[in-house]
Amino acid sequence: MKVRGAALPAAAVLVRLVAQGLTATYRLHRLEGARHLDRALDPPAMLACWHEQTALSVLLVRRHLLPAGGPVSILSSHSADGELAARIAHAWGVRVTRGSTSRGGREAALYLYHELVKERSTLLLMPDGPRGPARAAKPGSIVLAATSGAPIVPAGFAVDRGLRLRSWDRMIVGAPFSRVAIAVGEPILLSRASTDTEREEARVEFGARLDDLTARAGRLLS
Amino acid sequence: MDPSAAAKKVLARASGRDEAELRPEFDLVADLGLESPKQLELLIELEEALDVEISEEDAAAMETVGDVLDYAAGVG
Repeated sequence: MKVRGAALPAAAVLVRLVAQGLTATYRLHRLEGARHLDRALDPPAMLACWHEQTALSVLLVRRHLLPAGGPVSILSSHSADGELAARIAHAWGVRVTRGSTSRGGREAALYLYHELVKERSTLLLMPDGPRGPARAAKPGSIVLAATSGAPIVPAGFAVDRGLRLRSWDRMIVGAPFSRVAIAVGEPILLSRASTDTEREEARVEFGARLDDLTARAGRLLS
Repeated sequence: MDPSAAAKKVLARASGRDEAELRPEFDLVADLGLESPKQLELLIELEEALDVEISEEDAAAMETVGDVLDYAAGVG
């Protein structure tokens, strides 16, 4: 069901309360790669996971990123779902801009660059968002890394019990009191002098790392 | 350096064209091939060359070479 118009504020409050209550019951089963996570807690930096793991990533945002004290920023699409997500994130103290780096959204990309370089934020990125295809990294985050010099810290999330929504990304929502495993990988660093070829190689490597870390997080649960 | 001249240098470097080739009506995407990732680099280089922070509204309004040069002239 799509929520639009006047129903959005009420829906956002309801969904936020449900999401807060639900994620509060998530238990961190294991966090692998804490030393890499430290790099994401020292902004400017980007923490990235596949869009399907957005709900699980809330655990890391609320327990690690926000308590670290630095600004945390996200990009949220102009869709009704994006509006809802933006209101929820904003209520949690996350800085939000609306837009997409994939649809000529240079102003959104510029905002994210300013968030990194001028505000020294940690950006939470889902490189296959806002509409997929699922698990295909778009070049936006790689360009941000190259222009800002900020590292991309890749992460994979898995949960022992939950369901997948019927969205394009088949988003994973953990069941109440489920166990979440997180695998954080080595940061990806690029310089402004990097060539188009090097950036494309980095984009492919970035996607492969997210897949590997997702699989690794799954193995941590077993 | 004159802001418009500085902006023209940035446009030439980003697009790989000679400054003399750049016409005000050239579209950044269609004529200069500056897709979204390259446009971000263009905006960042412009900020550094002009020593300004470009607003999201101004960034969204830059469609052509002329738009970029007009913006630079306004800064000066």
